[in-house]
Amino acid sequence: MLTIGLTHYLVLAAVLFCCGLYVMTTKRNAVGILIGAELVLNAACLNLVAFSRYRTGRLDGQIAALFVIVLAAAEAAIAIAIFVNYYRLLSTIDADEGRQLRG
Amino acid sequence: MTGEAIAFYLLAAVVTAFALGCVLASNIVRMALCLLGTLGGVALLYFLMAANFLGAIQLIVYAGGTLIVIVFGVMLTSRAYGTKLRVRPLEMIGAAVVTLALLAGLTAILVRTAGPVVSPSTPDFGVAQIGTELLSTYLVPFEVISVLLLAVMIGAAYLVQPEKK
Amino acid sequence: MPLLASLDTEGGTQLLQALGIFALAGFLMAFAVLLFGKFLRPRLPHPEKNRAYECGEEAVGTGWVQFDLRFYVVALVFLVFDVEIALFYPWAVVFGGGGAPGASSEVLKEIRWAALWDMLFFFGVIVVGFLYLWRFGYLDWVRAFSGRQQGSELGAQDSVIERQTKLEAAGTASE
Repeated sequence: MLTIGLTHYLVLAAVLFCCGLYVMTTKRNAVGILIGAELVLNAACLNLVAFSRYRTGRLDGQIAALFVIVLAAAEAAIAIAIFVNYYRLLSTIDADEGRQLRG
Repeated sequence: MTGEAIAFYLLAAVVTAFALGCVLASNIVRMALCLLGTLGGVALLYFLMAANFLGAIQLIVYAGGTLIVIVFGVMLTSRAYGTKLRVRPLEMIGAAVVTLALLAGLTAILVRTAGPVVSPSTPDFGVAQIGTELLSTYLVPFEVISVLLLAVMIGAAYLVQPEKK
Repeated sequence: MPLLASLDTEGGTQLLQALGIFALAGFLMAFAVLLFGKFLRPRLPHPEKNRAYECGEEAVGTGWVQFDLRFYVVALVFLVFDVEIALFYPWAVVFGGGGAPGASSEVLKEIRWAALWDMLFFFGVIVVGFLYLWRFGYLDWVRAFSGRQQGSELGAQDSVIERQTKLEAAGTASE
């Protein structure tokens, strides 16, 4: 309990992941859903770095986390662009209104 | 109680508190602010795990770039600030049950399968090693990122372009 | 530079300690100055002093207006170059001779040239995107504006403003 090991970080990442999952499933604001996705990505990054530190002893986890951070930036940019279009189309950011998007 | 344990529990409390703030906040701007706290806490955890470069990048790119874009998204899509989107109670209860069950299951598995606590014997890595890895083993993903950024730049700018007749 | 060099690789609690001391010192400095001023300054409260602009325009409406879309493209370009910094920095360390410690000068030279070509390709691809935005007027403040007014945007915009005004009126009525 007093020596910090891999399990501590994994449990913390699980908490973060579940918070992100809850946010993604319940929030109706589309930007809120994106924020939930960012929480989940952070949990994954934390796992990667913790494994890199406590198990493999190599840099692979850190570099994967670096790629995740870069991809998250790209994902957020595209998602916000889509939300702006969505807002322009429906004049609301409520994700539940998106039912009529089906072709 | 070692310094590392104190730092970890402190940071874990901060990260969890901000993540719960994200969950409980109904105002989208407060959610973004809580996300900032979570990102900062995770960056400090990277520092604690001796991933210094990654922590700095987390602060620069995630907290300084991605979060700014998200806040821009809030400002671009909220003409009526304060109109709250209420969460349906049934959805809330269902999601809470599923999420808590998942959390309990994950924690149980993690604690049960936990091996003996080993202190890391790995050397601490510097930026030079990360750079060498990026330019040798991970060269192709590194170059593909540039193509991805190109696509993001043009695609997102095209998407937000006001429609011409 | 021994301190910086040790901070680069020596992570964990030492770094966090340093950060904590730094943050604490910064907080105490700002707090001490504010506390000191509180004892010195005269205290003459006046309602005029609490306004946003004490001797300027009267503030109208709310601060939460919708941003103009043109800001988004600027934020996008900022984000892309921000990511670029994150990837340039390790490259710069390798190019400066930090990579492959203990290698002979011949190998080091080879690594540096390879790194240079890698980065030129990377940067070239991103510059193509930047030039595209530049050439086709996405960064153009005025042209984007005129394009916006021509479009069918205007009608939709008006109805939204109308709705917003109604919403605000309803809000004040309920208060």
